[in-house]
Amino acid sequence: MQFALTEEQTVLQQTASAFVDRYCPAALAKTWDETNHFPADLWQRMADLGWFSLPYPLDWGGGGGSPLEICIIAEALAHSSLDVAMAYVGTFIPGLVIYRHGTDEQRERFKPGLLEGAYRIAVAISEPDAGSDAAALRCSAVDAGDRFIVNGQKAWCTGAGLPGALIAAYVRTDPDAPKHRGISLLLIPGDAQGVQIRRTPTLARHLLGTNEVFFDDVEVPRENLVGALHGGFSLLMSGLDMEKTVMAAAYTGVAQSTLDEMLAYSKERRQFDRPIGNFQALAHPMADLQTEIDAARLLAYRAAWMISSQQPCTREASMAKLKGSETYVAAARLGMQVLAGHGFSTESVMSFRWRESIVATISGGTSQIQRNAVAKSMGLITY
Amino acid sequence: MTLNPVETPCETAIDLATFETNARRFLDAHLQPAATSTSVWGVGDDTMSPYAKRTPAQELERIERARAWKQTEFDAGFGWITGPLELGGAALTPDHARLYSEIQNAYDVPPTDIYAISLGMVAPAILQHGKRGVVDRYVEAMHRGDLIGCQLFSEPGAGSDVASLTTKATCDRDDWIISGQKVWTSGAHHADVGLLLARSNTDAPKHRGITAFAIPMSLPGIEVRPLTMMTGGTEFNEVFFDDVRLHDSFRLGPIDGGWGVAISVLMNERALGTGDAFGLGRAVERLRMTTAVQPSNARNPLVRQQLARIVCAAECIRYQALAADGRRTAGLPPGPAESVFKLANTHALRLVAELAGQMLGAAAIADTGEWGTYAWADLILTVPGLRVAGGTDEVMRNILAERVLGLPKEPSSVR
Repeated sequence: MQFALTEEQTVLQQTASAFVDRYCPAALAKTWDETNHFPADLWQRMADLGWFSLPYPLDWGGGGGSPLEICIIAEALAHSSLDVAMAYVGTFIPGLVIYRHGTDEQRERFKPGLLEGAYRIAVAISEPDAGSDAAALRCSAVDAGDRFIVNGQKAWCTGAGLPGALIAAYVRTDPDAPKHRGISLLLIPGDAQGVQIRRTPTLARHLLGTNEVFFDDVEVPRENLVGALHGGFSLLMSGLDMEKTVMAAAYTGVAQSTLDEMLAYSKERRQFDRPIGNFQALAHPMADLQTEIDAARLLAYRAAWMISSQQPCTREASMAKLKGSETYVAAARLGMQVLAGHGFSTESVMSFRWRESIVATISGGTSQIQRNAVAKSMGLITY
Repeated sequence: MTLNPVETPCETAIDLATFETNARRFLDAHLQPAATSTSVWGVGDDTMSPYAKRTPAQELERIERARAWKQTEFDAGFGWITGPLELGGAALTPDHARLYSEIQNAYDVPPTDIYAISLGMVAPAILQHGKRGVVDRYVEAMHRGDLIGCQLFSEPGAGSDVASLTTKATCDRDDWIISGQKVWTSGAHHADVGLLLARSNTDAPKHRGITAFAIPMSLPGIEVRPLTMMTGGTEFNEVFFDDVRLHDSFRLGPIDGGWGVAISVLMNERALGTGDAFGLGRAVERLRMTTAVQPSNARNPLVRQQLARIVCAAECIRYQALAADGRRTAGLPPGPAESVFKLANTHALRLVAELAGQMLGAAAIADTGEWGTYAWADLILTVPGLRVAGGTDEVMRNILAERVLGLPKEPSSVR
């Protein structure tokens, strides 16, 4: 069994780490979050390094990177903030859906923007009454021949409010079919007539912003249908293992950064004439946390390896997402206790970590949904 | 002060039945019955956190309401039921005070949490350790709500280890010159008087070189800067002292004997948490309502079991609080065992916040405008602060281990 990274992967890791130190250290990410600032220049720098093209195959002009290499970038970026990492991941995950399931015309049309990371593709699945049960979505698209007429509402749509955003909306095209079989994927420009976007105030994740999207008789040309008509649910599910795995790596990165920050503070802060980290009451939880983070990282890397070797890994990706997100929450909670009053002040990065961590076990599939997937793999039907 | 036989609990001694009649008459005359809206989903204020964000105008209005009520209550003889007559108290027993508190629960009393530290810690310390002039100047006025007190203990380098404080008090004839910085001072931006610990002897062991003072917050050289918390609230402050001159008559207890004052104050602080100071009862009720209005959660066995655990914990805490009240009634001072209340309360609140977050998902952390959902975000953000304010979980456990269970002190290079 080989645990070491290749030389090339090690260089990638070092490059990504240096990138964070130079262009998006945690304190800066916190400022962006507090000011709802989208750092467009940061995306350009990532594009210049070829990170957005990395997930696409070489023969299509991509970088031909493996899932593990993408995980390495996401993990490193998450040392800045989870939001920065997720914004990176969120750029290519929907792009891969277009690459894999789009028509030749669509692939050519979107290729330059996908490889350069120029598109802000906002995935719109959830609705007020369709969260974990995504297939219950009701937003409708009526087939009008050369176009679809879309009506309805989406919720928790990340990045839809950014200039030039392209909304990848999963909509119901056959209301009479069983709920998993009447869904299609449409690409809808954020500035199309009849689209209204309303930003939702949230505790964190302010880089791209979270939005409600309202569709009122929006006309979408048929050439913006991705994949088969009524076949959208399989598209929705197709990238989930990859998404969960890369997210798990990002959780590992931000959890490690959170631990590093509390560790540094615990060595510097003195009470009762010694560094507070030397009290077992703090030292042992931090030791436990490092153990948990290492376990989470190994789970993420294992799932990435399974994707690379084309093995089914729904169970392993769910385990990695569950462990990674829960570990980040645990890290932030412990960090708040170690930094105590300083952590509670909004001046501290740790307060930002805590705000940001709360959504980790919710977005991208709640912990309960991940447990369902793992339980199902064990022959247990819990729903 | 005018004492009216109808509105006054007693002029000398008074039996509990008569006292109850007088109390109900007074409360009926000034307050509405407690709103039942707190148990109805979608009705009333859905605020959850004691550190909720308020505009300056909202905060001022809240203080003015509290002050008006305290003054009315005090002038009617119910403001300081166990206090001495010469300071405006009613000189009755703790049983009378507890009875009044129970009766009061049935009424819509304005929130008076701005006075919790003032009356729970600062006023008792001044009364116990202050000279007559300082006692006369502050204690009655604080109980009447005219003045607000704050506790000036923690410093940037002295949190859990309060005795390592470095704010200096230098003796200059009949005065002291105070210089240094305090932090995490609740309510300092509204306070009229502070209970200050300062280092008066740099050569003595750290616990023996501290002196306590009551310090008027309006003195030249004092600057208060609010700190913004994650909730957006500004309950805490930094307080800076720049060569502040204070007369020795404001000293509490002996020179270099401030640690004894601090200990008595900290015990009173722990005792503050024995009621529902953290809002656990209200939070559990809201959690129950949140579960009930969501059929998928109400049917979820994991949610139901966790809710049951939380309700059990809250009930245990409530009974422990009643037992603590009994000890106080018997004249016993608050002691280390009170630390269990803070630990138990904050632990239970953490479980409440976690379950609410789990049930509501994104609605708990993103504002959809729905009543009773995003309101949980304030509590979720506040819980970490509750776990460190007034003594961290770790300090509480040390107190319990060492002073209640009798375990040896934690190994230390300096002990």
